[in-house]
Amino acid sequence: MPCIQLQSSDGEIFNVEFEIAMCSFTIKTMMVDLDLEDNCEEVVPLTNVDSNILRKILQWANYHKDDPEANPEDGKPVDRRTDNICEWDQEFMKVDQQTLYGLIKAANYLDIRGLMALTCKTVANMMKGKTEEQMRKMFNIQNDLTPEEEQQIRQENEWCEEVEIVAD
Amino acid sequence: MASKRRSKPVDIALPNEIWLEIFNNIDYKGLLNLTLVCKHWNKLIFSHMAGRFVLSFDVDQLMFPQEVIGMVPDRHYRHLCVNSFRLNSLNYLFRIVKQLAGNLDSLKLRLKMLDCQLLELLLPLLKRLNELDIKATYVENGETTYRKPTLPTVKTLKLDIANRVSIYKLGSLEWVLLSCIPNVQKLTIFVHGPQDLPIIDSLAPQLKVLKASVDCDTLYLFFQIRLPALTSLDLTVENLDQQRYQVFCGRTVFQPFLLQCKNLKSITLEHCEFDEQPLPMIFNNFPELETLELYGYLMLDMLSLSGIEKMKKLKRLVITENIASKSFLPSPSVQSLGFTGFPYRNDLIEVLRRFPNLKYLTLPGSNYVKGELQAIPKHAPQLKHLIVNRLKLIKIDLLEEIKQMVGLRTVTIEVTSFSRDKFRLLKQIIVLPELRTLTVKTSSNIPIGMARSVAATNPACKLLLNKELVKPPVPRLANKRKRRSDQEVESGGSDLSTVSTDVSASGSSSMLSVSSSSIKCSSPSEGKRMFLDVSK
Repeated sequence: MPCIQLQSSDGEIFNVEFEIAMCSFTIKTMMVDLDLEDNCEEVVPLTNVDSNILRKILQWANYHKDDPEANPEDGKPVDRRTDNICEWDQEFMKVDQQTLYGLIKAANYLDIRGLMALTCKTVANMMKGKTEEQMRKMFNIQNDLTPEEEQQIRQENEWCEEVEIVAD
Repeated sequence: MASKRRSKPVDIALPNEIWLEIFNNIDYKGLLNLTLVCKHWNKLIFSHMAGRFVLSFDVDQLMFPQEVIGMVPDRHYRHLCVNSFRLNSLNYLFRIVKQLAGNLDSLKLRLKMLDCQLLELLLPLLKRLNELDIKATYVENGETTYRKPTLPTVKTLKLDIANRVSIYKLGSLEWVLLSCIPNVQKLTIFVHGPQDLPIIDSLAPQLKVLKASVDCDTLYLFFQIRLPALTSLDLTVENLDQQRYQVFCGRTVFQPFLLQCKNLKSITLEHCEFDEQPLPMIFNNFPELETLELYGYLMLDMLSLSGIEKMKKLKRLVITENIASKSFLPSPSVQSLGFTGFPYRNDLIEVLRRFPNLKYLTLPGSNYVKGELQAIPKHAPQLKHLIVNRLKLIKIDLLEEIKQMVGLRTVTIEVTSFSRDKFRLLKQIIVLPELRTLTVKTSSNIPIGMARSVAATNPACKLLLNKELVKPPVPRLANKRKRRSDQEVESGGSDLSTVSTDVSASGSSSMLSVSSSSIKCSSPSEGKRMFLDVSK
């Protein structure tokens, strides 16, 4: 099984099966651009991903390596479903905040669409049913709205209705 | 409280693109809540996701309407709906629309009086408009001057003007519309009388989609219009008067009208009564047809589907229950079938046999009799989606029979009165092994606790009650875990163990677009057409 070597930001080197690494479009493009496809000796440095996160990602990619090719529509959650997370992924997502955001950023940087969807759905699930104050605490956001501005937003939000999606 | 917190706040600096990807998973009400978190999120949502909202209000009810827009900074609305039924509000209306004009994709006006001069001033400001929708009681025909095309982007026009002075020639409104928005391809129009026809006639050569409600007195003139580019026709005859108008739907007038629409892929007719069988004509001339819907079919006793096998592409069929079920060949392309009345049991069996690939079935429950659905599991085991609508009272037998359909993925029940003891019986339906969405629409008041206990019976299936998702009660966790998650709610849940409970508790937290859009088109006010557009 051909492998490539990925180096995390903290210097650890991971031997990764070629096809697992290919779940990342960033790595895939890099390999093609640098013409590394036949060269297993080269180490690919991933400056934005530390070893903890990379280990997690490889674990995920290994589990999902036989998944069918992602449907182009998958990237567009038009139905806004967040309940379609398989059990393994739910277990996998039981991590602390630091790791979760690390995973999101890494999935985004490495362009791993399935993991991006999973992590984003997980965060969306955390947000559901929370008050503004709870969300501010959850994401460590300062409330920069004055009570007047908040009142204005509430007022204007009352005039905001949902756009009807008409299927053609 | 602070001392109980286990984790210190994590610094979360996610780039905007990631926030937006997360927000994409959230429904519009949730998004509105997010706008209250901080200025940055408000801006982010309304600069990138404004297309998901319509700003909709009544000018007359605002104290200071001129201050309305831009009250919240950084919001760039794409869709605007303005109601105004007081004449002296027109000035405000103009100012409001003008402020938002440059960003708007769609504009909906609901007015007492449509002032053509005002419209002429407004339209050129709407630089990127796609859809214009005007409903007005009457039109003020002022002096208008515009003659050159200004808004080539507008492709969709919806028009409903109740009391226009009946002048059967181009008036100021037509001049303004035709000169300002020359590229309309989709037209939805209420034809109240001959005065509404010139606009259709002028757009006719380019019109691809026409949805027209036509007053029966104007039907004859309407059928003189020729629409060579049309791919989709949806025609409803209003103010039905059988004595007078059935001749117009007959061979001499309706047939030539329909036959010149050579490219039709979709035909929907409501209350179009014919003096002879229309189906052979349709089957013989429109082999490319994908959708055929006939509603309110009164005059003919038995409709023959003989020849339907010629329609190799037909996917969706809605038809009266009075079809001569034995007289036609199987039609494997049809995936969605709707009846306008409840067919007899034996007829239903015969029909189901002839549509071997049926996935969606719509049945009006109003004249349901016990045992009528029993045939479905045996004769249509491949059926995935069942819609029973127009029921007045829920019946135990009906629920019992649905319970037997183990292959269903979605069930929709629309019933006026749903008694509480029978609502509990949904527990037996929601556990169907494949079921993912159970939609109930009813005027009865169902206690939320009861709905929740039904939802809790099968967390894998979403329960939608009158468009609202019913969340099952949060599962009871082991004592230790429960205490922890309570604290987190208090402290804002800054620890991630809530994630796991959320994921499982919200196992059903988003709607299938199928069922949410379906309810809208089946409100009682919509008349006879109560079918769910699930298969489109």
